[in-house]
Amino acid sequence: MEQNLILYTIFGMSLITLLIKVIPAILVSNYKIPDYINKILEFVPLAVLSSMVIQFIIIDDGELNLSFTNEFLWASVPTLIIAIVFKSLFATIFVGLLSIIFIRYFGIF
Amino acid sequence: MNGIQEVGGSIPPGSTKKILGFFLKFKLSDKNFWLIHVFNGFILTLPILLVYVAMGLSFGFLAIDNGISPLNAILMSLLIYAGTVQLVGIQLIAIEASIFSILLTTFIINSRFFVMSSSIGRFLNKFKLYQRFLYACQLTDATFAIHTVRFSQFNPPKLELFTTNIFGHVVWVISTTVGVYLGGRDYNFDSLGIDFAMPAMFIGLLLPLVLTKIHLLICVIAGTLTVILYLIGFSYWTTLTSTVITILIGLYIFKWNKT
Repeated sequence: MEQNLILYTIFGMSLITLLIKVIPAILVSNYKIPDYINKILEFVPLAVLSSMVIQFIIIDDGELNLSFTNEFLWASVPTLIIAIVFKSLFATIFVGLLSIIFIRYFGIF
Repeated sequence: MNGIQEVGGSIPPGSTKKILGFFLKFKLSDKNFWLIHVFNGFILTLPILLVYVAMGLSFGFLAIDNGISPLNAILMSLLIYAGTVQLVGIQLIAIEASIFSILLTTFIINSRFFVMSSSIGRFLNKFKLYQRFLYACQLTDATFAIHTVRFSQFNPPKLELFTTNIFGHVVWVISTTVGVYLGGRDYNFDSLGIDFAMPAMFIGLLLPLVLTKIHLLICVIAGTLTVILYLIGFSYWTTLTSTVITILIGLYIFKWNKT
């Protein structure tokens, strides 16, 4: 693709992304939200993040993989334990990286 | 006078003031109190900044590999500021996909921001319109999670929120730039485990949000639905669809739990 065309594509992608990010926030913050809507919006962070984590760790190359060949799945076990015990973002990322390096160099068992 | 009490009450651990005072060697009064908010914002964002550096570098590399000009690659990080879309975008550009399909894919992948933006919108009613606009422009998965925790603890100062947003964006653009100029050489990032940085970050962001048994149940439902929907073939729609179904189930559980 020509660089100029790529530039226009980037403008388009930027516009779409910004509209999706901005419009709901401005609409919701402008009106008084009924209680039950407030309640379900409270569940959004949990649902979105769970969904993304699951997609990252159990889907490998577009397929469900629960075997020992899925490095991400097994690296996420110690990562999850550290996240539960320490509740520290920094420690979680650090242990996550250590686990994946360990698995890649030494294998899972 | 009123100002310092208001912001002073909202600072979580008192240690920030001590640390900052130690390094800067001057007394913090209500005139330079804003420094604490900037510092707090920076400390809060630090872990995700490290992930952004890793992701930004590898994005810069891949962009050059896929035939994007350095300027365009940097503009992507500056204007789009959404990691997954950028990575998929450069692959679609490399295979000469039509502009329409690239824009459609952008819409689908980012569709999860509809619910995230609505959710964070609940807290923005004290913001001025232009502040809501600027804030929402820099919304990302990571800042969304961090700010949700902050907003549920107390009313965080605007300066702190904007500091985290701006630091994230600036670091993302700078690391892309560095990646672009280091690019074209043979590095193997995967052996360092950089590709696991993002999943690890999301695990670390999710856990502090799980406070009750109902929350845990929501996570399990969302996870199960994700697997089912993905296997059916929802691909990029999976996150939005499973979130919408989960929060509707959540509402039902909430009502049933109350009666």
